[in-house]
Amino acid sequence: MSASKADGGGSPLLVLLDLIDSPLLLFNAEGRVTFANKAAKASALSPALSLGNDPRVRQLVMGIAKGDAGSQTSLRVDMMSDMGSIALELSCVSRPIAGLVAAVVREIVAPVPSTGGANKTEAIERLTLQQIVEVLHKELMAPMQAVLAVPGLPSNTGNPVGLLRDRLDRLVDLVDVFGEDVLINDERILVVDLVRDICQSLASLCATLGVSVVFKGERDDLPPVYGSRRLLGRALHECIHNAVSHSRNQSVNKQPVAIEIAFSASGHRLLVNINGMGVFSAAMLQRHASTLFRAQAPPDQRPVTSTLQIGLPLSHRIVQLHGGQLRIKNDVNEEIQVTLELPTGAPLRNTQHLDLLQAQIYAEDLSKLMARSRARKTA
Amino acid sequence: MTARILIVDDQPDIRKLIRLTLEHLDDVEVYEASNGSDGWRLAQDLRPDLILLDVMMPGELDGYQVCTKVKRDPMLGPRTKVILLTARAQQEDKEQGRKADCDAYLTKAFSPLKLLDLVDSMLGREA
Repeated sequence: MSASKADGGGSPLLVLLDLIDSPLLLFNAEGRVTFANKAAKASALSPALSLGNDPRVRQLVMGIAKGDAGSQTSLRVDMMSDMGSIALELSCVSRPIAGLVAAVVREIVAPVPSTGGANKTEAIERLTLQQIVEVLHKELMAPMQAVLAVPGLPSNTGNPVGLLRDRLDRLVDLVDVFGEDVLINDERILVVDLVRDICQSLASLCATLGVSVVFKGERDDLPPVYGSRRLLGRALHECIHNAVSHSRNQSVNKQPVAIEIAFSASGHRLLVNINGMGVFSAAMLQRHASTLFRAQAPPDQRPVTSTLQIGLPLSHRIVQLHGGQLRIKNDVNEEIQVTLELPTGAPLRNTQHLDLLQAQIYAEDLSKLMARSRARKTA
Repeated sequence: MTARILIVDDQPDIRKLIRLTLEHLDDVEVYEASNGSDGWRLAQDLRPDLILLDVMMPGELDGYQVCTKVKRDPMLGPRTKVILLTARAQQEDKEQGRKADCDAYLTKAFSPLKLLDLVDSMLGREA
């Protein structure tokens, strides 16, 4: 069942669901989103992606599908987005219909004071203290409890110290890029190399989920980008991690799936496209053998799940600080597509001080230059 | 013998400043390009004796990449000297320049006298 079938295949039920104004999702018995109506696809909050990745939603839906959900049929999921603090309220039907659980999504935007023309990503700067505490609680509570070995935790925490360190690193980056004086330095960054390093760091996650990464267009002479290697690495990490996690959501069976990371240069821009490729057959494997990135998972590491609620505004902000753009297109049927557009050269460099210094040095040397010319002419 | 010098820098003011400085030399023809791709094309056409090459430039090629291409080109590499111009003078940057086989490194903001001495030296002329 898919939205494309609804459009082209003429399934009357899906056509009807598309006519509903409210975002509506259909989940299968495993708690995965199998259909999003037009209102859900049009929503800037991408409920299919954000709710489809939430383990609590999956648990609720699976409970309803099995008929043992009890009285609970709704769930509120808080998250950070470009628009600030947001909650999505999911209201499910009490029992499955034809093996599917339908749910209506309601968006609840927190009253964040806004200024008319302000950029959306700046909204996170205006969080209240309570919202900041909520973010910290959401990000750190579970990994800290895991480190402290609190009983009753979910078993998928993997390496708890590593997970806590990852979350803390992410928060440090968040503070860095939303601070008062953001300093983007001018390190020379070869983006292909950076992406390879990130894929290597995600090796255990890829190996466990059965996700391969295919590189396309990774020429040696692609233009470098100047900026902060650490922060740009953070943005790319968030995007690739999200693509890897989401790609597995698309496949209901255990077949291997792949994501493609394509690099291209366009004028003064370097483009990085991260696309889900879906199920990766043996024939495709053969065809892409030369460009397939096979990350070797360290045997002692298990994948860690990651919340992406602050990852999106964080990535947006980092790319924006580098003078670029981040575009995310999500369709439950056509896989997730992320495009990072980064300027080459150093468009944000501040040369005012340097220009002044150069003029000063030139003025100081001018008389010596003239004297030198005269001496040459008379010689 | 007239020497051909190519300036590749995206900042017009810097190109102008270098051109004004090089006018104090005898027997030189000065050419300009505003980005790495144009600089590389012009270098292939002109086969200059010396290229003054900015490192951080927008476009498909930055200074290190142009330098590498020039030095690997059988027609240019053996005879064309390259001076990299950069606002960064950290060891890492110099190492990058060394990898690209540049002949000299000049840090912005530079003294025009120092530039002339360096150009003379690269062209095998007495200062």
